[in-house]
Amino acid sequence: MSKKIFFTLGLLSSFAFGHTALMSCFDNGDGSVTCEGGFSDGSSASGTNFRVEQGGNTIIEGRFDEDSEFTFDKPDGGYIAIFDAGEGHQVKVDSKNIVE
Amino acid sequence: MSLNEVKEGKSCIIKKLGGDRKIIQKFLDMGFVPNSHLKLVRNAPLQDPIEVNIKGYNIAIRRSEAAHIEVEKL
Amino acid sequence: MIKVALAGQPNSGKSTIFNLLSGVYQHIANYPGVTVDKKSAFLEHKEHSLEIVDLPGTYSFSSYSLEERVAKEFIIDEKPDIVVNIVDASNIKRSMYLTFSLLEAGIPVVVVLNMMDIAADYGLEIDSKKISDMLGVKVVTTSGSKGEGKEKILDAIVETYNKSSQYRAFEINYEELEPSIQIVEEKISYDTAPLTKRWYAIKALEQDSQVIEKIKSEDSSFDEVIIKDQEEFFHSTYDKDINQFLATFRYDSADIIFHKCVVEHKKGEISTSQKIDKIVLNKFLAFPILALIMFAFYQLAIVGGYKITDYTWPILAAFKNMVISVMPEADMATIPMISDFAIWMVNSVNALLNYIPIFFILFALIAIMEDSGYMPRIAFLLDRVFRKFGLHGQSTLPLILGGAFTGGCAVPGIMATKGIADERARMATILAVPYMNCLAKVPFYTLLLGAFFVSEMGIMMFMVSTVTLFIALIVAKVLTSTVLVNRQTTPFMMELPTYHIPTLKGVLITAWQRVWIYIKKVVTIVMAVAVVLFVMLEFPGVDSKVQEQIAQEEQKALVSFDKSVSKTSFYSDIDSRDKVSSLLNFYDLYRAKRMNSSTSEAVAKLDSEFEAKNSIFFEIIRGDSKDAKAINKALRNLSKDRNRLLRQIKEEKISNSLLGSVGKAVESVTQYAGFDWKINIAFLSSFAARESAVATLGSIYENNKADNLRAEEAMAQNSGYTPIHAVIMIIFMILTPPCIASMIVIKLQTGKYRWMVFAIMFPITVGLGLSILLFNLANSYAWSGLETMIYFYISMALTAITLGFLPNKSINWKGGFATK
Repeated sequence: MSKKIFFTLGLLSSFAFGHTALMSCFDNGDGSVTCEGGFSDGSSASGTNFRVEQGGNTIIEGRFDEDSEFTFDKPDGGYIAIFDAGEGHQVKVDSKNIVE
Repeated sequence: MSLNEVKEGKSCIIKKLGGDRKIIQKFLDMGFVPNSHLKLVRNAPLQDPIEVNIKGYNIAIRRSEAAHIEVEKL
Repeated sequence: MIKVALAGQPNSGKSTIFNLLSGVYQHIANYPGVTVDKKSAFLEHKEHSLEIVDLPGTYSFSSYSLEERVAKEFIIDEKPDIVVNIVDASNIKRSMYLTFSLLEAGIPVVVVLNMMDIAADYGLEIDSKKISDMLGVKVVTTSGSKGEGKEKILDAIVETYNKSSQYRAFEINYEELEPSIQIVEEKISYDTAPLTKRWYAIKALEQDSQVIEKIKSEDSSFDEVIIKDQEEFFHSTYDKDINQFLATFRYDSADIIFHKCVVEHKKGEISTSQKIDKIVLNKFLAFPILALIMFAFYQLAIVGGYKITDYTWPILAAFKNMVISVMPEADMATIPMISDFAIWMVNSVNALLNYIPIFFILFALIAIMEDSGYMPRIAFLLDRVFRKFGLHGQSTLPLILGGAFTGGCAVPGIMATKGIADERARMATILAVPYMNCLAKVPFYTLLLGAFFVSEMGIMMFMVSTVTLFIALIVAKVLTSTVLVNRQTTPFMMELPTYHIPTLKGVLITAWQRVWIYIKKVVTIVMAVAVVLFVMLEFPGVDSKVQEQIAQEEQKALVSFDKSVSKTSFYSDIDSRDKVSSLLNFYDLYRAKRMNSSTSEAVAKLDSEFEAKNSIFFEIIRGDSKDAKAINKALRNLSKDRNRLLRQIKEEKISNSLLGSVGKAVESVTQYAGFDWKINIAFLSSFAARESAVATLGSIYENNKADNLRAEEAMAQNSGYTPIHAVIMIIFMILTPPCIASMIVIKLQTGKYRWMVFAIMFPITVGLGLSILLFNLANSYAWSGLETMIYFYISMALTAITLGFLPNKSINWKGGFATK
């Protein structure tokens, strides 16, 4: 319970955003999709959490590699790629915007 | 009595200005001239400064400064 | 050219009128020798050219303040043709006090009764024609905040100018004082035109040192003794002080105008402003309301601002890609220095420019708070607290700009101290603002917190963002009691103006002016420093042994690539190192630009652009054939290999660099705080170019193996640092200056280099001292990282509160041989 209070306090007072989180994805054309993450001040996104959601369920999960990329097999139908940049900041890319 | 001692909501008239030249000049600039009427609008939540209505406008003044203004209750 | 001076009391809406007349084309400079803004604008009206200068707001022409001196100097030395006096129509009894002083000077005056809408709200019916008749000058009515009145004012100016030969100087009959005025006037032997000798005489009798100096400079035979004589005579004869006498007269005159020309319809009723104040300044509601407003600021400026950067970033990214594409190409892992340099500079600029949406919103919100009239209320609420630390209610704005609760920027914060009349409080504020929450420090905190305090991030951030205020207060108090104790203090008295709805134009102009300061000062200075930093990090470069190893790895990668593609039909196009290198660059650039294209049209455009550049390469990277796909795969591996090598080179370079040597050199001292040379480099580079700090720090600890660790985790695991190290680093970061730009602005605001040096050395020394102390305490008592932070926080809070109870000493005397 106290953890929750502190977290809210933290959110309330923390100017937790220090830089813009970025992600772009594209369809490789060979049945796979690659997403690359980053930050506006050049900090690396490698190792941060990445996942793919479909219909509200997480179907793929992993982390950006040392090149700040994640490549996965293209799911059937619509999906959302999500870069979990931490501090409550998430970058989402809808599959309809992921072009070949 | 000094302006410092006036209670919230009460009105009074300025009798005399005290203090050094600099502060008297400031009093004059802000409208605190002898024979002017003023009303103590409120004390700040922390009791200092005080808000005064004089010559139709509102001004905040520290108690330490208000102590230099001699007034008479109305 | 008609030279027009705009004069008026603060809160009369003078700035709004100036904005109305000038539009956005305002020229801002400084009055000579002082840090007071001089705003001027040039316009054409009815075949006349006008120069309009906005004088600083002044309550009268009698005081000691800098603003009054500057305004008087302008009138005396620059001799404007017309003085336009902006008067708060809702407050004639008080605001026309200045009018009479201005009328007496002898220059034709145009009176502008502004805020007519507010006067109407108070139920005041004003007969401006009658005022005009009584004063003998043109009187115009306006509502600046509604954008009304521009034509009227300009017409009045031109009309008055055309008739100026018929103008007779305004005189008030001062009855008992008249003989004295005559006597002094006779002693002024030179021509004072266009100002009247009478005005000079009256000012001299008021003991206005600026005017007396002016008279003496024009006529060295003028003897001040005569003033003293008259003063004594008047005092002993009438038992009155000349200044109070004159002031009373002027107020009485304003009263006469009011009683003869204004009808009060709503006498005794409570105005809207008063109703609002009943809530906003209520004993119990005032502080919660303030807290709520601060929270709203955070939501709109920071959260909202960052959402906007999601849209502005692609523009910056496109710029970066464009720069890369025009730079000389890389040859595998060897990047030409000029390209490296260009990319470094672009990254620095982009990181800085990315903050603009956030700052714009923040500054706009602050402008709304100022223009609406709420800001003085905040000062009213907080003055008692601030005063105990040597600050001032007016320090509120600078501290908020610098980052109170939300992140901010010290540069506009320090510049905002211009308005603080109290010299001592102003200096204390200037030196305290850098301690507030610099927005650009945040990525640094999140990197460290993410590494060592993942689960306690909320509370850690809370402590970081609130402890800064305590520290700022402590610093203000300490400085006020020691270094600044000799400074002059001025009386507080502050008007609580009627609430206004701010004009959109006014808010945007102010916000934009502050953003522009950020761009001009922060961006240019940091860019200059970034150049130096680049040199410090690039040289001497990678040593030959490592270079050999890199070259070998390059070879290995190339050979492996060659093997994978030798059987394909494209082989003849990629059979040499040069060609492969070319293809690799082509591939990387395409991918980078592709990442920035989010619609099918953008992709199609990109594709045709690249196909035109090199159709064979394009075929390879986008083609469907088996060969193309095979090469593509090999190319991806080659790219990965290259990136790995590049990262290794980067780390080597940094270790070897000049900056690295500096970091190693100071290690002998900093080690006591647990800082090794790597941390030193991070601090040094982050002070120089704050926004690139995280990237530099991160790259120092990046894991070279394909371990998929986050930068934070890599640091936690590989660096050998403990949470205590991290906390001490965070604390040191909190205690040290935000950036070089802010230090330079300190020099600008204080006018002296010594304060800039002080502002750098003092925090670093204290910060290092405290860090060393805390580091050793934490280790001796085996505190956890969180505990260390909590102890630090509590000790700061307690110190601040205790210091608050110590009285402030102030010097109330002057004289002797001491200067100032």
